Amino acid sequence: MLKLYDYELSGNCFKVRLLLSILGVQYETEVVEFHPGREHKRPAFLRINPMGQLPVLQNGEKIIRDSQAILVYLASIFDPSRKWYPLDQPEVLGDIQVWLAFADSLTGSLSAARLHELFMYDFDADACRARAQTLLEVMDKHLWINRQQDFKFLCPLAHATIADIACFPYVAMADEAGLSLQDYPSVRLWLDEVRRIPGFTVMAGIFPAGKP
Amino acid sequence: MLKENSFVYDDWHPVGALAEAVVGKPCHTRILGQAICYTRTPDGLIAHLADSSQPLKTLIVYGLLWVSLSAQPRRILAIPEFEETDRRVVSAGSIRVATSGLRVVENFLDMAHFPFVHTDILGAEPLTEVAAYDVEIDEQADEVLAVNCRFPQPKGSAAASEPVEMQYVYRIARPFIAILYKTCVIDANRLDVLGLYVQPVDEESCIAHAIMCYLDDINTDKQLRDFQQRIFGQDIMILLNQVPKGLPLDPRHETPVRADALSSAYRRWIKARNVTFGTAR
Amino acid sequence: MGSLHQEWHVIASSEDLPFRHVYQTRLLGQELAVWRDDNGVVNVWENRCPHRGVRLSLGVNIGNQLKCQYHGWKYESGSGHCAFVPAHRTAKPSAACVRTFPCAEVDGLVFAQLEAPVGNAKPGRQRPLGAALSTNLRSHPVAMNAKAVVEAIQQAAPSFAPLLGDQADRVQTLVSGLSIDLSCAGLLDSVRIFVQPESDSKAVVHARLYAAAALPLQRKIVFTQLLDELFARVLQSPTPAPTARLIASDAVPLKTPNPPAADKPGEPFSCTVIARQNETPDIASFWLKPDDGRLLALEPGMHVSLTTPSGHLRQYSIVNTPDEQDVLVIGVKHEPQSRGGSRSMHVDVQVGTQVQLTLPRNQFQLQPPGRHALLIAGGIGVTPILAMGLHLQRAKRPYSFHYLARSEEHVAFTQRLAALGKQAATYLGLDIEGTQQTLRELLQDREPARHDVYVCGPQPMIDLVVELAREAGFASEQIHFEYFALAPSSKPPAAESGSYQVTIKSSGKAFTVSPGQTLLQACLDHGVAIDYSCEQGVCGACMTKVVSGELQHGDVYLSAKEKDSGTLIMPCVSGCRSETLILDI
Repeated sequence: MLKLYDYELSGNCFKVRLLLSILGVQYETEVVEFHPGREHKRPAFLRINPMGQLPVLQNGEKIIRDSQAILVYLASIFDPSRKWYPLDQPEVLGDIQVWLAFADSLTGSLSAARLHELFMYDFDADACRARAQTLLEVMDKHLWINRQQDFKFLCPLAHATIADIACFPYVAMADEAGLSLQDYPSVRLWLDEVRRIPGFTVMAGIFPAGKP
Repeated sequence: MLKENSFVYDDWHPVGALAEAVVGKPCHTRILGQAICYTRTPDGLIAHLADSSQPLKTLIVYGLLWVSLSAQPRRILAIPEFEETDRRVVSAGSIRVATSGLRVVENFLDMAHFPFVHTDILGAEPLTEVAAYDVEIDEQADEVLAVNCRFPQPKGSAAASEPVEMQYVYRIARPFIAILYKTCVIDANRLDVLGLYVQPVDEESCIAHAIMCYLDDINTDKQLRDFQQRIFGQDIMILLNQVPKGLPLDPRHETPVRADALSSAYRRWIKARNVTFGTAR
Repeated sequence: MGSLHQEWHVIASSEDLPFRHVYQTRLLGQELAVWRDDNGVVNVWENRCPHRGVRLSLGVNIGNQLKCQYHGWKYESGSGHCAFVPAHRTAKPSAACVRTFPCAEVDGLVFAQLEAPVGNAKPGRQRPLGAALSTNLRSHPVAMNAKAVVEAIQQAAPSFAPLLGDQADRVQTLVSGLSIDLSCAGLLDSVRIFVQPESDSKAVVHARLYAAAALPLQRKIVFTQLLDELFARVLQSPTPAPTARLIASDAVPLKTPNPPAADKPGEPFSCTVIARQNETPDIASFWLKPDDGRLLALEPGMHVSLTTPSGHLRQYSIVNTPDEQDVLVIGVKHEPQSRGGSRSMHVDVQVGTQVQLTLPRNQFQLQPPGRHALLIAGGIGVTPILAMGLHLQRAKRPYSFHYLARSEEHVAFTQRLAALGKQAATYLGLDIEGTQQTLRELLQDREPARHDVYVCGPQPMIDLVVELAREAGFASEQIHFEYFALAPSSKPPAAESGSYQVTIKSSGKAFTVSPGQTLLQACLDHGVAIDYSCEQGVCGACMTKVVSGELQHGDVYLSAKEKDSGTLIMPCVSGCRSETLILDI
């Protein structure tokens, strides 16, 4: 069975849990206590991921680290519909890659500001938020233009891809980073759309789409 | 009448969990808007104001490091369960929240949000009814208690595996400290003790230190922490979105129902003690 | 308050409010939650749940109600009234009400204002001539004061030429307040810009493009690029503008609560009678317009407490339609045995007469949607029931309306009745047996679980309906009635069991609290001002000192010791066992 090295309050771990839930793939978790234990920097975990970062996915002997890489791996193997990572549509793969890189920038800005706010990490939170604002503005404009063409998600397709999964968690938890999404209405609409994807699951800080 | 905020100023405040303190490492933090510096020493705790070398009074008890800004602090609250040797004391990790500590405590005293914020863990629709409970004032200790509280829960603790009607006693010991006594899954005659000790950093910023004093022998410390962090993590998004951040004491500012009897008593108790730090004004 | 508070401002585009979304913005520093219900109606609400202050933009739009994320409380589209409290599923919902703001959706844009001015007009302006098509451009937040944004756009007008399909510097501007029209001589296309004053230091530029022919997407994108470039230049000016960052922790100043007029009793306001009409030989209707021009948050079932020229304090139900917000319409029956109140209304009150009144809280509310409303009225009791019918008709909710009157000429409010169409049934000249038979038939063979019964009329008729409804299997919570229209022949209230006499120590004023009425309601109806809020005996706002009386406490606010002392009472839920109660106010 797949094994996920996981921490509940990590948005990067949540991305993986979210895609596993949407794809209906069974897995087990091993909790790596990020706070206060800092287990991700201890030797036992460093043997699994020398980068000292969560999450890590283990499939038999195969170990994959980096949340974006794990999304690509899971969608390539476990998605028979070929929608989440359309291997046969190279132009879409290019778009997705752009947003996977974008998701890394969100980790470096929004996630960092959140770590400062909640766990008192010694980061320059205002500088992180300023970078995040620039990213959110780009994202909001992009999503507004997409909506003019009836595309609800990040890629110009009728459905979501791992690009949406990768960018979702830290944007959804922007309040915890000390940043309001009020100025990004297209981003807020997109968050609703992602939450309506069948198989969506939640984590602490992210609420489900409403049940009537 | 008490001098404004003397009720909290002349008291002890937690600044960190004992389990996470590193001996010899100076730590900078704030209490009631005052910058302080503390250091865990091999045999105790020393602290001083950031801009003065005058030592502050310190204590180590209940799994926490405590500091008082007052030269003559009142006696620290009593929690006799910590003397029972078969209990485990586990810190759930300290988390900062950008809101008033009073809002954080009030949220801790609330059962009605379980099905909506801690869905499928501490509660689930449609079992949302909050049965009547009793609010009592302990005049001797100057504390507020809510007794006969019960709530149906899918998974009320890390040790619970099936739905159970959890029974609770809430104890408001200090404006920034509340203690929950709850059904113990492994011993029906005793109660698990979960304390929420809030460090009032500034009026609209606080650090929540949660300490479990449990009889649980099923879960590892890590499992207990994971459960508690998940619960508190769910509350944070709500707490950050409460406006105003200060706790309103004027009864007309927010509209309670009978399930809020404890919150109403809490606000009244704070007001009667002339505490304004962290309130909406 | 600055006049900007009384102006209409665009706060969103129609596309910002798709199915089941909650949009978040600010207007002049006021945080707003904006949502469209499933009938298409737009709500502009204070972004704060009145229960525990959580932002409603965190909650869920469930169709015709907004559900708060914290405790699952549900609030009604339109009124903002709390409709459901999950912690007390079967109890009457909380009296809490979200603060609502006037709003209107005009030509693809959503307008709102923070305060309704005297003589409020609908927002929006005429569409530019010749524009066959129109489309919204992307709304653009800018970290600048709204007036400065208008000036900057005006100065940079020539740069918008590409947007208008023109290459030359022929852009004309027309500024009107915080709105600018951009057009080019000789071209049909134009842009209308509305600048939303988000706060003192921040604005949002909303724009609608009018064109003669379909627009390529690229033209829309040009607008965003132009604004980006314009404000990048302007914001680099020597005096740096405040940062655009809005932290989730931004303090929102705590305002004195400003609930709708309906929730603010005890403050009398004066009205002038602007029309009066004889509805039947013994019923006259009166149109009362508030002298300060305020718009009223009215709902069916509400009544006014009015001081007649003869000095009597009387309660009359309103019959307003949902549209009538600037005037109160009441019906008054001339009671032959009147102690003076109704006679004074009929004789002394003419067009131009000024009267003082208060709007107490609604005690006869429509229940949240879900069940069929069975409305039954007798005689003058038609007033609140008709208001309910008109409201339900408008909301397209299921109801039926049954009106018992003595004869054709005793049918009041015929024009309003006509608006109900086929839903309204009138029964004329029934005797006692006929009345019993009719009511029994109305209540029989209904599925009690799917109906709510509302009745207002003479007391014997209400009693009969209540009895028959119970026999037919209706639960007490489904039978709603209001006794205030006490027939003069009914037993004097003091003689009824459970009633008691209240005396106000300071003024000596005395009145009776009837069974089924709260002490708080009786005080408010008699002009005794008491602060209150939750009306559930929890919040403590209405705590009142007592001189004497054997108290019956129903609250959870007072401590056991305070209850035993007999010196404090929470009049919203508590009462008196002895015949007299003296309040120390």
